[in-house]
Amino acid sequence: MSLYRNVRRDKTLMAGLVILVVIVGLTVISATDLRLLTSYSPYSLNFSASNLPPSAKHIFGTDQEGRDVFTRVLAALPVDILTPFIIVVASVLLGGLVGVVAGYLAGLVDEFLMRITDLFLAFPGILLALAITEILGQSHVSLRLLYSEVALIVVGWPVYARLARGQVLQVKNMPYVTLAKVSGLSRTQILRRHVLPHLLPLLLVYSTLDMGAVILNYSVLAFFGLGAPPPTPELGRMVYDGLSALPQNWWSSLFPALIITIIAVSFSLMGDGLRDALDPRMGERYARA
Amino acid sequence: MVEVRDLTVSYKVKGGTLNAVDGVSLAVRKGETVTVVGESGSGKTTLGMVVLRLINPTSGQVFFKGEDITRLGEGELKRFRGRMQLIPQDPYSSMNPRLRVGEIVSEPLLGREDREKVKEALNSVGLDWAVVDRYPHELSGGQRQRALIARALVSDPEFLVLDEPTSNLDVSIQAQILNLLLDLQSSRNLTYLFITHNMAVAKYVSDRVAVMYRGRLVEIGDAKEVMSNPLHPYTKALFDAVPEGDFRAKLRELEVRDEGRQKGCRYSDRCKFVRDQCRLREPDLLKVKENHEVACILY
Repeated sequence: MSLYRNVRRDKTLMAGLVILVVIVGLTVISATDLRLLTSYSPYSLNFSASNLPPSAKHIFGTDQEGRDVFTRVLAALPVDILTPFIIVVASVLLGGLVGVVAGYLAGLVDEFLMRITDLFLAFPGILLALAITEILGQSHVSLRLLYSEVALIVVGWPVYARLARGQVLQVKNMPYVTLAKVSGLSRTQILRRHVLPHLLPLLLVYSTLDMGAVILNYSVLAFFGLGAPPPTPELGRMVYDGLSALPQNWWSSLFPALIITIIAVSFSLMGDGLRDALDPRMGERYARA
Repeated sequence: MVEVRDLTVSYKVKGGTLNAVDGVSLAVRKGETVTVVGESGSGKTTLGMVVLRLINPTSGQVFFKGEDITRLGEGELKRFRGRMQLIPQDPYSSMNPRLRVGEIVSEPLLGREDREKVKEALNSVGLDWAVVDRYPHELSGGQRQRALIARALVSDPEFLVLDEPTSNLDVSIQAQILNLLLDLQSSRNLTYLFITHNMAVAKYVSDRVAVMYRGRLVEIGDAKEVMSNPLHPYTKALFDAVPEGDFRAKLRELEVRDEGRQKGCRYSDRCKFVRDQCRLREPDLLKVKENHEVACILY
């Protein structure tokens, strides 16, 4: 398998992949049974052990309420990984569909869909998301997680629509598509055979890169208290909660922030690596090097 | 075999319409090669695309084996797809880089897996069966063009449009490909509409030559006749521009000056023999001899 070989040889991709496998592994275990990883509870307060610095017993220290920061980070992983994942998948599906339809049908449909896309693109993303969540979240605190997801999807899909449309337009005018038409392939067949295979790797690479950005954006929402309602642990919210204890207790906001960064960076590394590995001409380049 | 009548293709451009093809009538008989020559922008490629029904004509008709296919929709055209094929100009962008050569060559079979057909087609263009598992980037330009010819042959076409099939190849390979195309034509009784700007190539492959200038057919006739006795001033200039001797000076004459649309003969601004009448009316094709027609007021 040449793809496998390319993955092995690409150090960027490997680094991103290793970090991600560890994080996703921890996430799955944490979601199944947190007690396999830690003896502390992420919820119960213990004021006699508050503000303890990092040590062998509490490697990330404890927060103002005496909860183990490491335990809370682990408990936060499922929400902090799954939510951005859902947001990105939904954005790709929605944006990809709009883009393919616009690019392939062209004409008035294209014009209409792209003006709508522009409308959404015109707003600064994170501000729009904050506004949407703020307005919706006021009334239903319990649905706030859902609202923040919707908000980030609303902000996220237009980029994919643009991306997909551009790629479809480019491939659509390639001479091999002309040849396919001469040979009697239908529009659907051309779409399946020539257009989508060029689109999917692009969307995969871009969405992997985007995961990092969405994780950051979601953390920003969580930071402002617009994510999952408390007491669900959440990395962004933990950073905010820790701020009031600065500068003495630096660990309870620094470590969650660090983990957010590591996750975001690992997705970026992986996206970069994937882009190279998915190019069919890469085999050639490696062979020569 | 294939005929177009009074074909016009116009595009909207800034400040009016541009006729890429302007009232062209042309018939290609079974088994012959009609070469369309002309400079860039003369409408020769557009003509080929209209014949294949990839571009819709603004007016006029296209016939394939006596049947009017001008107004057929995509569904009805299915019957004709594959019986007419295209050999493209650029063998690089004409192959989907994500597909293997085998998948590319068998595409016109529309999913009917037919190893024998593919094998036979590859064989007839001198390619080894082993290429089917390769990707396009692993082939040379000449091999790609051979593969694309095999691709065109796999659906047993009767008529091929060849859109400058050798212009992107090395000179050494051009001859091989041209010979291959001629051999295939005689062994399979194919009919060619050959589009080129290269007069040397036109000389080599044509039975008949049609000369286009800015969308208009200005001269048509038997290849030998047109080559040895070019009538239209533009055709003369084209042949003189074939690199021999002092061709540089002659190329100057061919340089495109973008004149606006004017009345009368569209070549009159560049013509050495221009007369007052030329500016009055656009000349029609006139039969000078059996098998030789020209659109020029001098005859």
